Amino acid sequence: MKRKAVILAAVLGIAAGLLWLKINDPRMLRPYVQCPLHALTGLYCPGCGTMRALHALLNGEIVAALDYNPLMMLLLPLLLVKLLFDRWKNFKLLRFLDTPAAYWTILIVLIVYTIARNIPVEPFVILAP
Amino acid sequence: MKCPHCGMGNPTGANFCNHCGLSLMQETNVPPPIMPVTPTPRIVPNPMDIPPPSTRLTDSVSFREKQKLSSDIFHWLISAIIVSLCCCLPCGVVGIVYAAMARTNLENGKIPQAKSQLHSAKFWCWASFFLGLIMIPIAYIIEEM
Repeated sequence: MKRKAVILAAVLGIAAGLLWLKINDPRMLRPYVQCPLHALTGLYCPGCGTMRALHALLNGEIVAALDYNPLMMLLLPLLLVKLLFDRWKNFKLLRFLDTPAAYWTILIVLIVYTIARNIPVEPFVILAP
Repeated sequence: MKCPHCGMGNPTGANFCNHCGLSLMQETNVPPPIMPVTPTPRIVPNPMDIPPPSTRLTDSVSFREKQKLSSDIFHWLISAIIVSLCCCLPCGVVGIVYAAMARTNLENGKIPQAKSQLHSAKFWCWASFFLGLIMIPIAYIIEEM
């Protein structure tokens, strides 16, 4: 009962957040919403651009969304689907995500991605938001 | 086949419930009801085929515990990824490292180590969350100045 209430609250919260993001363009907000790492150091973290990417995605601009944050647009749906179908043990398609190798791969990809999107040279600038 | 414990469906011939991990072998070993007219001889299972009840019980308990631990670790991995993106990157990354270490130890059967690393992963997730709560307003104030 308590668990169901928590899940319901989380789903409602996420839905409200996504609706807010669809209506509001994060680039137009004042003060400009940004992560503390970027505000303090000017470095991009792997999550930079996620709000703009979600805003673009919710308004149907998939290419723009991938441009803002390619990794998050690919990784987050995978993890969410795995989380949602976690109780459905016969859903073998995403079982590979729950292996130690997948965990270490996610960690290494996150670190490499963070470094790569902070390199201001031609092939890497497409990763920056 | 329906699991007698949790009621979830399982493929026929499964030895353990895919949902709760309960041993389903007992179900298949129950002899068929004896017909009143033509009594069929009871099929006596070979004692070598079935593990004694005590080991079967501990097997299914540790299987269920492992499954629970693995899904716990997975949920905290996702939490660590989310907090490292939204709140505090360095602390969140430490959380991801601990989640990955816990998952590796669970795979190798080192359950106490996995549990303590899961505990550390939780700690770093919360640390990242609260640091984020403090850092985001500070970033705003600096931005406004």
